Amino acid sequence: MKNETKFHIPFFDSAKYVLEEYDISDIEREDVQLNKALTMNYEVNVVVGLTGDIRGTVGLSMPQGTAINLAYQALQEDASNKEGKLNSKAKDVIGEMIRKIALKGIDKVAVKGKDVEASPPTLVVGEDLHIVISQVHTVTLLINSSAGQMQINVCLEGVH
Amino acid sequence: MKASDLKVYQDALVSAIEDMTVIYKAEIINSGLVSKNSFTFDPDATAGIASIVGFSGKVKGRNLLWIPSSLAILITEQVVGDTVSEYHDEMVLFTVNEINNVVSGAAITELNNLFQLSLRLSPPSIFAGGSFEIITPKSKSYEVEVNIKSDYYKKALSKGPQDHIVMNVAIEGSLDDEK
Repeated sequence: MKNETKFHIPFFDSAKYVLEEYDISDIEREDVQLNKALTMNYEVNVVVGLTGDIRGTVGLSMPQGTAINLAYQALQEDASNKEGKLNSKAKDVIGEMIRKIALKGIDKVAVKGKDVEASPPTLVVGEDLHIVISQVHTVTLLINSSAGQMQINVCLEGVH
Repeated sequence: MKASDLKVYQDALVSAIEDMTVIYKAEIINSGLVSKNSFTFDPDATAGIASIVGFSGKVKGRNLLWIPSSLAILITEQVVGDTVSEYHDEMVLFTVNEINNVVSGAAITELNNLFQLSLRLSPPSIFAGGSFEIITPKSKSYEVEVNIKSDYYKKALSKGPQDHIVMNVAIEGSLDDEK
């Protein structure tokens, strides 16, 4: 498992680093899981595509409440609209968060000799979504934090 | 690269639809390219499947293909030669992904040949559901919509305004004719 995830771990490490940058505390990481195909049921999902020596996707999924807490922490102002859902500023900041996680992870992967670029983040918000972020193995890390629970998903092609 | 150069997506999408509906021909009624500031589904919109492929190089962005769920089922049945009951069946999701791969691959190759953009594609991600909103912050998007008509597809299309397939291309920053 360790060898299989050597290019995934840098993205998990960078997620912790970026969350701490936003003053998110009590970050607890559960065990890393290897999934054949990934489906998620959270309402807020954001993905960044990776291209170059490694092709893949880095995704962050969370309930609406966690997303609002994260965005509030980053913006230091109300992150929800009248319906109690993410407002537009909050959506932007959640997108920026995953971009930072991806770019920081790419820096760490570059040290291992891989040239990788990230595409812009895309946020998908909805209920009862059926999601498959990859047709290859996905490595998932569940994180508990002061903002709530979230799931980081990293799928990379051709690195196993 | 100018916004009008994104017509390559229109050509690639029309060509892919023609290839994928070769048994029960879908007639292309019209297609067009429009600029949009955001890409948001109406909460009352029909259920659909969205496949997202990122790209990077001298320009960064993402390609989003959206197909109404009942139409996606019918196209999948033609491609795999078997019946499919649920729109979130793996076969349907992967068929939509494959169409996006084909369209995005053809369009990106054309753009690289024309403008030496060194664009490379990420693997696709799929989202299926009743209603959802898709946002690509700090990007401007351009939309190719293809409307189709076919007797075979009537059973899918009679349920509502589901006779269109959308390719939405979001590009970070501005294109040459918008600076």
